[in-house]
Amino acid sequence: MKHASRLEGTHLVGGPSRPSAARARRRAARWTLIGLVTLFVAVVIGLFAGAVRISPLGIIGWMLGGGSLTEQQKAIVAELRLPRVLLAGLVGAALSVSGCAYQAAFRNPLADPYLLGSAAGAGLGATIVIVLGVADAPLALPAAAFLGALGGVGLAYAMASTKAAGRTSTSLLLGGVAVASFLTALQTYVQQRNTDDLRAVYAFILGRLGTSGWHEVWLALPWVALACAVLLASRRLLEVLSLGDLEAASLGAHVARDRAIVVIAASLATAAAVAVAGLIGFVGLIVPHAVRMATGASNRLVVGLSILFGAAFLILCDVLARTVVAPGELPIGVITALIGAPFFALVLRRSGGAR
Amino acid sequence: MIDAREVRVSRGRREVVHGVSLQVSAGSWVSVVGPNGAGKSSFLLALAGLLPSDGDVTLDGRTLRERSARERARLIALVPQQPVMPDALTVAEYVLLGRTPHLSMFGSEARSDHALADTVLGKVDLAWASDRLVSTLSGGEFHRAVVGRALAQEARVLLLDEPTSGLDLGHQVQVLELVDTLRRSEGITVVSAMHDLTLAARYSDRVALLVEGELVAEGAPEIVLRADMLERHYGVPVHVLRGPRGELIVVPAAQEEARA
Repeated sequence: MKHASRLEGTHLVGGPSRPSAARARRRAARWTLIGLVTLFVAVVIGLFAGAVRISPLGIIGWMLGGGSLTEQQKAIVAELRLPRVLLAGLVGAALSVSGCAYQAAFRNPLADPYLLGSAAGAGLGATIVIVLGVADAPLALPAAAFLGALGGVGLAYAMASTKAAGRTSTSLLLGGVAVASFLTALQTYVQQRNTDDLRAVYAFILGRLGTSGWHEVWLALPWVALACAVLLASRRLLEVLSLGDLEAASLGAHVARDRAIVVIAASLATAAAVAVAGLIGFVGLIVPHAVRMATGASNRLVVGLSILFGAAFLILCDVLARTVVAPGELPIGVITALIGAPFFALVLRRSGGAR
Repeated sequence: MIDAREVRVSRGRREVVHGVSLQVSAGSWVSVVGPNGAGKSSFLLALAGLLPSDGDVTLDGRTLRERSARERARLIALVPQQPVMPDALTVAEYVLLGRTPHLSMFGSEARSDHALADTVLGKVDLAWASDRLVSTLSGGEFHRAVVGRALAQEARVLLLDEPTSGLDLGHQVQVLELVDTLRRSEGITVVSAMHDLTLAARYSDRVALLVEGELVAEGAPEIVLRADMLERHYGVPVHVLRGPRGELIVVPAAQEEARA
């Protein structure tokens, strides 16, 4: 935009030396750097925050492999704070990138794992596995959450794709809200029937990172990494899908297949996040939109930046969650909802509603 | 070049194109005209393989069915009636999306793709706007960007679905002149669905008149666009006049005149 007036009338007919491509690359590099720095700062703050005071410089030194921390401080940072910070980062990255992917795949600015019913589906799947007592079996929790997430978003999409529903963005959201309520109700039912597990399950509803250790990090990491890799590889595809089914098909894209790939990857990320951290709302909405507003960029750049800024965002939300009522702790879902709901209103205003 | 035989298209349970056959020779411009609901757009989309249809469309000796979607998109580019305006793409990025059929699914553009997109931007006279967001373009500029995206496909057939809808007179002519120039310079074959009969007559080598899903006439504009034929199928009296350079002008007759 800024360059437009300067270039106006220059008329580089023929073969200019790819000025726009070079500028796009520079912009991507600049924002990636900003994202990495933000994430680094968030990690340092995340490791710093807590009851025991440890100097940020000591933490940075420790992160770089040296430093002046005592053995006790090292143990606190490495065994208590680091896994929690990493998990918050993984969950934030997963929810943000899946929000971005859902928004592009469904061409709906208000799509989000929470609103589409995929998070609720993942929560139901995870709850069932917990009450059945098989949550410790390998892959049981992520697999059940993944199937639940796909089921949730699939159901919402099916409801919205009937002719009567008009296949509009609004009907997708309404379908998602209905599916989310239904699946959450089912989840509550399953949970109340099994009050022994109430505490474990209840944590899901408001989201929690508090009980996390390295186990959760290793549980989520491979799936989040896989989903992020697929979605990063699909950046161009997301732009093609943003042109709508007809035009994407006219460019040779297999729209149904490509959308399915994106939705499956996004649901995988959602499921991994929900399986380890419960239902944390609005992250998938806040982060991609904030990135879009700040950069003005298309999905090609927003996917990657959502991963970086999403991780940083949730790490900082978690810092708030464990400091504002210290020594108590707020569920992190409360923090994201308090930020997210007003932000939702803002996006709604800016996007002119779900078109 | 294009040989469509007995093309039938159904939308929902209703058949909207009933076995239309049409041949289009390489490098020519054929306009499909007809009243609303005649099946012009459906026929056009079937030609591109974008709507399921019966019958065969043969392109360069092979049917569309035998070709993959990517292969089809390298041969046929579509300029849709109401192109989707993407939110955050620059004009350069938008035109670059035309390279999609030349890239693998997870591939990204090579240097040559960027170079080609830049050349195309020059051809559609949008090089100055390459860094602007598509959403900030005027209607006419956006249409040129869509044509640019289609050119970046390097397809030899360009399908235009109502290319002038929503444009004022100046921009209508601008877009059609651009397509005509490119057709001549690049040897592209053009098939367009058109509402405006005067513009159809001015730019097309041949005109196909589609009425309720049937092809009722096909030939040179002066043969198909006759007053009696148009009156019968459009249901209003029309005058077919000649402009100062002999060009056809189709206008509706005044209603009083018609009653007399």
